[in-house]
Amino acid sequence: MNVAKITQEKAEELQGQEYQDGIFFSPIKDKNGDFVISLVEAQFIPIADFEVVEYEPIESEIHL
Amino acid sequence: MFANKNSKVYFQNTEIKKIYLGSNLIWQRDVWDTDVATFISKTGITSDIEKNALNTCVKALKSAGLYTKIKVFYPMVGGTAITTKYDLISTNNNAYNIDWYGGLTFSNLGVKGNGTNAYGNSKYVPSSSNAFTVSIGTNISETASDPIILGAFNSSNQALLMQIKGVNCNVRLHGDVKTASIVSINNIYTFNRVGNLMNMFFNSAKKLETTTNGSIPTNSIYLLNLNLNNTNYSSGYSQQRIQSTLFHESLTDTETITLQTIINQFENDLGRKTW
Repeated sequence: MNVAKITQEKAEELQGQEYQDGIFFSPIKDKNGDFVISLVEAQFIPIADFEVVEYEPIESEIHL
Repeated sequence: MFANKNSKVYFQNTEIKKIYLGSNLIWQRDVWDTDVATFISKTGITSDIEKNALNTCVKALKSAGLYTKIKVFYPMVGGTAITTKYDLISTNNNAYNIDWYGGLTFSNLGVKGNGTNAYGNSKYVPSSSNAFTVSIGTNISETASDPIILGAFNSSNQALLMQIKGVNCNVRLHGDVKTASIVSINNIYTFNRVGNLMNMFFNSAKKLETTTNGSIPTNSIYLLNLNLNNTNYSSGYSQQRIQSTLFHESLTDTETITLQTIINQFENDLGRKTW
């Protein structure tokens, strides 16, 4: 699954911002410590502000 | 001639509300339930199918004596981030309207996660509610290692969560994980707890009744992810599509079956019942 890699500064800027009515950006960290958002959200920021990468999730923290 | 109760009938310019044949009432125009009318006004939904389905559902819940036992009810109708965020229980004064985050997909079928960063914060802390019902319309293989349908977690002995992993439905209510097997993810699920006894109902059938432990979490419940001490659970983003979701008082077996029957009819009326 592809996601949009953004800088930490961009992630901090997007945090708490609505990208459409009723829905907020949700920047998260991947396993490499990079910030990413979904490609749905990436449509609402300038193309120069992100790079499409393969999503690598953080390993599970707690197991049920 | 008067089959549709929501049709308006006029005599010249006067709307007729009741028709009698002799002393027998043979037709009466249906009226909107007041809570449904409030919900329609808040959401701005326009579909007659959705409005009529809501009206039928809420009237059935009230007739069955279940409505007052429901703390929060998300019908997830209308197909947008705005229309799906609303809690129908008007006495809550919008306190539990959902904040949506990330790459969700909204449609008239409900709200679908993406397995990466999408979730909703219900803002509902289940301080007085031991039970919930959720309907899931999809049967998608999850990519997350610990996909959570909904939940709040303080500790392993203070949590409320539902996870579907492989062929297992895992639930903490509020302590130990209890597991029942599933055939397909798309289904309607209810979980109740009274004292130390909890049960699971899948589509009007009791799947498990067992003892449990633990205490109620103090964090608000996230949908399609887990509120892990007020942060997101990075391994817990679900890709499923959630539909009607309710937090309620613990119900008896009979009440649970009645509730699931009413919600099943609601989902069927909306044309999105996939189980």
